[in-house]
Amino acid sequence: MQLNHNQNPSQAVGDSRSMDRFTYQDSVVRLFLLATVGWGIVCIALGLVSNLLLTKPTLFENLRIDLQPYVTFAKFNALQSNLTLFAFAANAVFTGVYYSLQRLCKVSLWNSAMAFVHFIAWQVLMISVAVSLVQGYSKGRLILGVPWPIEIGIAAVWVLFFGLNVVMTMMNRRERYLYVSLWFYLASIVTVGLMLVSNCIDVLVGDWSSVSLFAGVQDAVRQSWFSNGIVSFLVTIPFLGFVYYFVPKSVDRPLFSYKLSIVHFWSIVLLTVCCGSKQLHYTPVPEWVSTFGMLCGIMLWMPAWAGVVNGLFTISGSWQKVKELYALRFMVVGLVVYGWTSMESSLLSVKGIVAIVHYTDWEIAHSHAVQLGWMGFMTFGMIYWLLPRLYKVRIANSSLTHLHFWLAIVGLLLVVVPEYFAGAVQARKWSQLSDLGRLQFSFIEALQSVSPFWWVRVFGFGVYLLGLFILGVNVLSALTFGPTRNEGSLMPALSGDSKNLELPASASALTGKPVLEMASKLDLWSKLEWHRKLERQPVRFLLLIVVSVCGLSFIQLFPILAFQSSVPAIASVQPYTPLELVGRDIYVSQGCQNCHSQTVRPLVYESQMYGAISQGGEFVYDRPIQWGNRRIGPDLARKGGGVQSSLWHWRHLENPPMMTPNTVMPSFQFLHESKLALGDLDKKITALSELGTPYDMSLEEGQTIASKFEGQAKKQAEVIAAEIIGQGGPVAYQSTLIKDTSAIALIAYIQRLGTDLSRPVPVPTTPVNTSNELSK
Amino acid sequence: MQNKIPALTSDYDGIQEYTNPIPRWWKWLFVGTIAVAPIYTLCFHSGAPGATLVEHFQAAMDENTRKQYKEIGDLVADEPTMVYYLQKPKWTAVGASIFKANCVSCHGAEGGGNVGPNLCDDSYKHIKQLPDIIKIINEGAGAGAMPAWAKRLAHPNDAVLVSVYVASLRGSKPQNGRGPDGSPIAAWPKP
Repeated sequence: MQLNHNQNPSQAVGDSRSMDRFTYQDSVVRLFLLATVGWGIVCIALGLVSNLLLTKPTLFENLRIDLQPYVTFAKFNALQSNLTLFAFAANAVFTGVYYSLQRLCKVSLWNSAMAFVHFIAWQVLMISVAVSLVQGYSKGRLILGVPWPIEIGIAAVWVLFFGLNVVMTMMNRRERYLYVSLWFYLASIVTVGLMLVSNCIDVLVGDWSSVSLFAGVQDAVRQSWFSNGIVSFLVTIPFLGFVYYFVPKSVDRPLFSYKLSIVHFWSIVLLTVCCGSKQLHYTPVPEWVSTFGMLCGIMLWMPAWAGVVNGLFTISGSWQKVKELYALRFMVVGLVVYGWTSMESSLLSVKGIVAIVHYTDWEIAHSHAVQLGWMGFMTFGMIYWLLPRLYKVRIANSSLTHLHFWLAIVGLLLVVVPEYFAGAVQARKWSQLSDLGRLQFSFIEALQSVSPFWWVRVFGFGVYLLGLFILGVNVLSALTFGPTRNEGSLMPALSGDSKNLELPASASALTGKPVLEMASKLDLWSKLEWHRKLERQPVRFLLLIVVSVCGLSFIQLFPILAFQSSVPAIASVQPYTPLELVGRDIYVSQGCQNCHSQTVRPLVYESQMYGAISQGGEFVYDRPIQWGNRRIGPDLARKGGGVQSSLWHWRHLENPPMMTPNTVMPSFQFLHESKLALGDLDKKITALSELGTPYDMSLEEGQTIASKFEGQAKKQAEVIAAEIIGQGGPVAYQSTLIKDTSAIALIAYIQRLGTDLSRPVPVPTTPVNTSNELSK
Repeated sequence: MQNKIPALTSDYDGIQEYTNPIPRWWKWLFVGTIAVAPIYTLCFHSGAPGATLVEHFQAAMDENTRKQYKEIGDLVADEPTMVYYLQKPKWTAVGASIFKANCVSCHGAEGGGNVGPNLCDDSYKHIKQLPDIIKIINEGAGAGAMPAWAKRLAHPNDAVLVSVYVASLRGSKPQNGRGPDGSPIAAWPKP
């Protein structure tokens, strides 16, 4: 059924200037739409499996042992969170931006070929992200910790293929002004681009791996800035642009307030850039850093709500339309969820609240509400709006769409509500002290009490996934029944140069009146005339965003990154030994920080449960930090030094429930069966040494860097193996001596964690000796 | 909302804009959240003593330690003390919570043993009399299989109380207990 949607009476009427005829580039929009739906299904399915693994850690225990490393919870979780951001959300962003950009500029894309390359390159990059995460080629960052070639690829495609094309299309536009949606797109392009490019700054080790330029507290601050920037400017800012476009289009009413949209845009963009460090409360970063993040986070409440106000007030008076149009209905729910999550974001930046809920499922509930409720519903609404327009068909079966809507709602609630409860239960059980000031519950008891909630969540993901399948059916039927060739209709519009027409400057009512010149200038400024001018100058607008985003980032990061003195040094802290480095790489590549944090916060119950509070100086050799943000398992910051014997760790890695009944930790038996690999050790230590880690690089006669440090590693492995054997453990595991297994390196690393403070201060000239503290 | 204010003249792909004023409640709440910043900074970052998180934590820890031990003071690590506290359920319960936090991963939730020996039977590896338990907990045993806890526990009393709890386990019947290690020893002295 043909729909004629692009009728735009007010555009053509009364304008006698020459008309252009042109078409929109919609083929690429259709491709991105398909990719969005496809990746959406993949991401929700991954969420389903990863959460199923938490309720049933033995799900894959009968799988072949060589496949085991690829099916742990950590791998699924890392995949799900990265792909949801960069595959699901990003493709939705590309879809919506490419569609609305052309309409709002009344021009076809600047360069179609670039857009197609963008499409193909991005999907290939996402597949390589998935492969490298599953393989364990991780740089140890929760967001986008993938090998450097992929990182550079992602940054390059974002900036050069997406960003450039969008900006050039704006330059070519036929409209006089840039509409507010376009401002949000520009902010997203600039900030995500900045984050992605900055994420590539690393020091190379070998061909594919690299180590972070920054270590410890500095890395933590940089990462918090990065992850906050990426998440906000990928799943919030562009989608607010979509609110400004798709909501007024759907209800066919004017936007509620132009003034509010200006205040909204600048306040939300500038404050969001500043509030990253709110993730770092109670960690050993300088306190003013996290205070700065908190205060900006609190201020962000109203700017975030400005989007909700502008969206819902635009609809107000036409609620009938919400009933009629599925697209609008999805978007209204998305906006309401956003109203909740954005307020919650502000609350979650308050220190006292973070003390209670950080590391619990509460924060997971928050991010799932954002992903499934806000980003998901906005995407669905947008797709249901686009389908009839891109494929020139009516959505075939509206009762199916109706079902999708309710499945999505029920799925969302079944995921999020149990998580809030689980978070509340965890927070209470972790922190509850008896009358005599003692912990009431152990970690495992708290874990046991949330597992029923986790089952409900699995069910919720299933329901939500079912809804996505219905979306898939709707898209497929549009694909099948839509016209086969459809290059958009010819559009009349103002000719290219009409955008340069000067409008009469408005004068202040105060001009010529007996007031100070200043007052009339101020009056003019408050009339936002200056902003109106800006809206006609994309390059100037872009530069203003670039300067303010970079400037604010610089102000936050410079004092921490530039001065080592911002982190008090601790003399007894030593670099990791070669074997511990190998073990740390295993910890990183297995994604242990998906479940284990590594900072004990200055809170009474935490120091009772996990040991002495962490200090910034303890992490100076951590590249990158492994502080984590969840505690599905206990904190590991003080697990070293034989709190559990090495034999205990050996057995625990092999079969966790045997050592800790009711644990959700999967078996890492494959580490017992894989050979200790010391291949890249020399390159890694050379790189770390160049970064200033004090390794003794002097060589004796006939020694190479490789042989020296491999020798040290093997020696320490023998010491730990002897320790395990002495404690009653096996000498060999399936015909491999235990000193030659990967598990030994991981145990060396765990036994090292948090032991620096009790170590005697070394004499500076002593070469690193790996075995003295471990001798029996 | 009453959209009394006329739309801007331009339109974008059919979208027009009202120039409605910013809602007043919005403006004032925004101003309010901004006002938090100077007030908070003044209260917590003006250099006043006791305002930082770590200082708060230290005060809370001191308070917590007082709460834990104000009734009993510093315990002497000897047999009469242990025999005395074996009769005090309130204090064996404290020992139990220390046990739960630190010992169950090797000795089992009920003390029935796992990698570590069973603590409920009459056989002991390194223990002949009650204070030996404190000694083993503080100094460790078995080549690090049993770690030394002296520096890890928050207070010397903790080692005494958890030893009392371990002593009280003797004779209980845990599920799936491990077989006896070491050799049987005489019953604990009666009070």
